[in-house]
Amino acid sequence: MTSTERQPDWEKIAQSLDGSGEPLSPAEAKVAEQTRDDLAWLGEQMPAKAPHEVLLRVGAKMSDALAAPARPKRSIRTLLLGSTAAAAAVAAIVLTILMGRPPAQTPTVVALTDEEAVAAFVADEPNAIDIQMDLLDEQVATLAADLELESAISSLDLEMDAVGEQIENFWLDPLATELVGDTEL
Amino acid sequence: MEPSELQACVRSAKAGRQEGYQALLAAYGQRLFGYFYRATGDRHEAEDLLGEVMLRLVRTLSRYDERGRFEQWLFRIAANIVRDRIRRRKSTPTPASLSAESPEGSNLMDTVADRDRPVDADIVAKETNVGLMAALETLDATTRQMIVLRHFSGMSFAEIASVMECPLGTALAKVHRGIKTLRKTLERQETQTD
Repeated sequence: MTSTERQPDWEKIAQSLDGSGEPLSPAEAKVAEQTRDDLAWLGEQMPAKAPHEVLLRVGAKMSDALAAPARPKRSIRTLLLGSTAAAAAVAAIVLTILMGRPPAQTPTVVALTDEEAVAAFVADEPNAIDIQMDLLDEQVATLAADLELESAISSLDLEMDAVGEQIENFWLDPLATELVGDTEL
Repeated sequence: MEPSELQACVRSAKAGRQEGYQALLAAYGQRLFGYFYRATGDRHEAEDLLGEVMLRLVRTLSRYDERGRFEQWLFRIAANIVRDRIRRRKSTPTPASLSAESPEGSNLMDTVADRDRPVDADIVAKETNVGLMAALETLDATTRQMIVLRHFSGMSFAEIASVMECPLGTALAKVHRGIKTLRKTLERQETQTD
């Protein structure tokens, strides 16, 4: 391959078109000139005209967004902590109730000592369990409602918002741009 | 817009004033719409994306560093939105191009436009260079985006390379070859018309 057939040094030409870099060889200068000419031609082909109605509609949407009260955002960490805390609370309640129950008396011993006591125990035991189960149900329902509320607020869009914002922040950070730019160029 | 005027608009918008945001929309709305329209080939999508970029502006303007160039910052957001949209589009297959003609000579773009014609359709139709849109559609999405980004944003090739996550030389090579292809396609169309 001769020097005239060689691929142009695009990077060097791009730097020159951006207004920096080393002086170009005649062949490279020709490519740069062609590119300028092409870009000028393109400018004539592509007018930038948005219909007035489009700008009005977008402007109205933007005004609505500005007028809307900002929704309090919770981070993924907060949501995870909330869910974990709720799950831990359910576990703690279950353990407390199970450990707090009076030790079951053996029916045979009761049967041998007092028939009335047996009858009272049999009558009371389901009642006591029912009360405990009702209490547990109530607490679980409250926690489930809390969890539901958490997930309704969070759901995927909040997570995506947070991730999207982090990515956007990264790219909008001039330092990041410089770092990535340096790496790639 | 003069730099001092732009700075005043940005500060006003940063302070949460409607007028500031509306002034920025008036200043950049046309070019952003043009960019979105040429990058996606769909005016409804272009309007949708313009709305999205302005809402994104409302959310992120507080983080804009006034020492940087606002225009490039704004178009960087716009380019990221287009790139995400194109990626999403790739993951959901489309049955046909809107401008692809059927054997009878009609296309989906005409059919959709006739059924649901917005008030501004005539204005858009007047400025639409159908031939150029068809030629742009022959390019791959990355090349098309680089070309329109260069044209509408005035970004340097280094900035385009950074936004499109590719080496500097690749950005220029793609733009250079892409415009050559466009010119050839349009010349061929003109020859066929004559």
